Amino acid sequence: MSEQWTIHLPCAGEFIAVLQIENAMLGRGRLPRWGSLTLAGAFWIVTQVLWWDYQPYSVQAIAFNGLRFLAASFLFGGTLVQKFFSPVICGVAILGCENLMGAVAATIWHIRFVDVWTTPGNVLIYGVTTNLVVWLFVQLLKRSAAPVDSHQRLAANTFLCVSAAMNCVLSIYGQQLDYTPVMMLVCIGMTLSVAAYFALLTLFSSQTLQANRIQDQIKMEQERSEALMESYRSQRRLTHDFSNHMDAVNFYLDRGDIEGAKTYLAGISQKVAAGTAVVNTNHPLLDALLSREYHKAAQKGVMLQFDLCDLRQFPLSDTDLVTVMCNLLDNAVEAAAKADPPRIDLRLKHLEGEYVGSVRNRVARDVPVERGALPASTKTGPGHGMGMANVCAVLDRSGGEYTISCKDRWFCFTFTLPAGAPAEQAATV
Amino acid sequence: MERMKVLICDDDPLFAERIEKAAAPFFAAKGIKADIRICTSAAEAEAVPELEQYQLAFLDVDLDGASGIALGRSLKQKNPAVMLVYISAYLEFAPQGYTVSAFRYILKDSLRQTLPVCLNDVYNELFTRHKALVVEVSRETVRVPYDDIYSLESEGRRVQVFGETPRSPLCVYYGKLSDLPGEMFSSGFLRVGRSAVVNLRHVRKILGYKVQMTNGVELSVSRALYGEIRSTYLEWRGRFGNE
Repeated sequence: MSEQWTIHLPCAGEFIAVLQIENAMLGRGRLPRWGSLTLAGAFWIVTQVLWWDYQPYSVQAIAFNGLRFLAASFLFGGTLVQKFFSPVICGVAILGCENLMGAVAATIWHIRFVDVWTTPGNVLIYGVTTNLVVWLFVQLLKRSAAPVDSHQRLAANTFLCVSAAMNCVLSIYGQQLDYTPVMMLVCIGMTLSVAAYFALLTLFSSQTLQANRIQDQIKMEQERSEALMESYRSQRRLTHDFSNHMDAVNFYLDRGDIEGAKTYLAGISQKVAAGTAVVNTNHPLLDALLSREYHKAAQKGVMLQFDLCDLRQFPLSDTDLVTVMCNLLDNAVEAAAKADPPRIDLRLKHLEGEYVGSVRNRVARDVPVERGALPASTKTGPGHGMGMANVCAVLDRSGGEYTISCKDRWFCFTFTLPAGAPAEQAATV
Repeated sequence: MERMKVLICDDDPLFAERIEKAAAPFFAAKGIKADIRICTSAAEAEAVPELEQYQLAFLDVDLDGASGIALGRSLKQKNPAVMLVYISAYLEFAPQGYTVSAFRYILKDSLRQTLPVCLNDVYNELFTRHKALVVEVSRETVRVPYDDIYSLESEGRRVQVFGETPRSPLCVYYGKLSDLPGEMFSSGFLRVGRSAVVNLRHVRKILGYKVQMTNGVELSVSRALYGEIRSTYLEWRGRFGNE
């Protein structure tokens, strides 16, 4: 194998690792995944051939690769800011791996850093190890990553930029160092600091997530109690006014004004209808929630259609019920209000030992849904996407299943819950 | 022109007429001649001849002298496929409606908004079910209603169409599963593997890479598409599943 090939091949391994990172970070773009990967591969070959006498570990090489990573990011999804930030993440991960492995190998074999990647065997080990590390890293982050607030994100991004710059410096100037143990220690220190950074970020983000969940639940509980209180107050007002209304109707009838009495009664009926339940499922809280959502939808011009069954045994505690139904219906009302026709269909059915629920609403345009989840790009902040995350968390905890789809301008969230005693009742048994 | 029989039972004749005035033109616009019979009491409705042929019934819950729920139960006994739509001024009766698997429960107050949507759903439920697979078997055209089909399995160049009885195909024809009309898949059929398509209406559950049909037959599910197939089935149950 020619010497130039051993220079190109590590780049190939690194580029594959970069594609893994960008795929995980940015998600699918307009092209199907295989299309993006094929184009990215072709792009790498063309650019590598164009700069055949590629010189690694130089400022030009780092700039060249940075631009190449940026260009590849346009084959994936995500926002423009995320695309521009992806080379930084790739730089930290790839250069970090390269510097650490190079420094360790150079120290063990007592050779210069620049001479480590000169044999095909070393290049192969390097490529495979880098990709394996990146894959493990991506899997770990997928499990533990959660939204962080803007201050945390700013600090995190600054750290990553500094870390990427430090790795660039190490990569360019470290080649000229003969005293590799120092280089190794610096690289190990850099890697540990990045690992500590991710551990702290995960910790902070899970705390933020928990705090947001609690805040959301408190807010919903408040809304719920306010809605119930409001319903109670209007009921009392109506009862209080009942005799006055009767007097008024009597007055019209005494005068023989049938039309006047009818008009007056129609006015009262409207008032009564606005304050009373529109569904009756034998589950008072669910009735109150669904009625409130119905009126809220009606105010926004959205037609909310119910198809329900007897839900007295619906297997969710009050808090979880509020989390699931309010989040799903609030989202549906918000989306349907912008669509034409503005319509929501809610079904809750008891089928063969489980409850199956479906919230289908019209949307202005189809939302890309991948593997039953909303695209990562729509979840840009700590508050955004939390509602759906909370719903999914409740369903997971309750042993349910769920799926999300969006086609022909219908967004659909379907879930199942194993039938059984409601959680709060079960806990007291 | 297709025909359907509709029963309206309400002790308020004016109200029954309102429903008729909404239903008749709706179905006529869809090319269906609706034969509508109005009754003002449960006894009168019970005495209607060929009651088992009625496909749709709009019933008032609180009829004079009898309950609309009892009438609905009686109609269901005569024809389990009849679609019951309860119309009432009182929401309190709704849970009783669920005991007879009412298709819809609508309030008189909101009839103007809800009836058109309800009629549309009735139409979809009644007339998309009547679609059929038309195939050539031994130079004869055979029409198999979608509802009767449990699964279609390919074996070589032949496709076997199975119904309720396991291992005894309703018909066998030369063709491919990939050539099945797209309309079948929008009517609740799902490809679960290279050689099988199932009617989701007759699926009991999908578990452990197997589809269990309501007639006890088990079919293998493609491992690569298992997650997607389960999601599609879940979504279908959410939209159309009924007790």
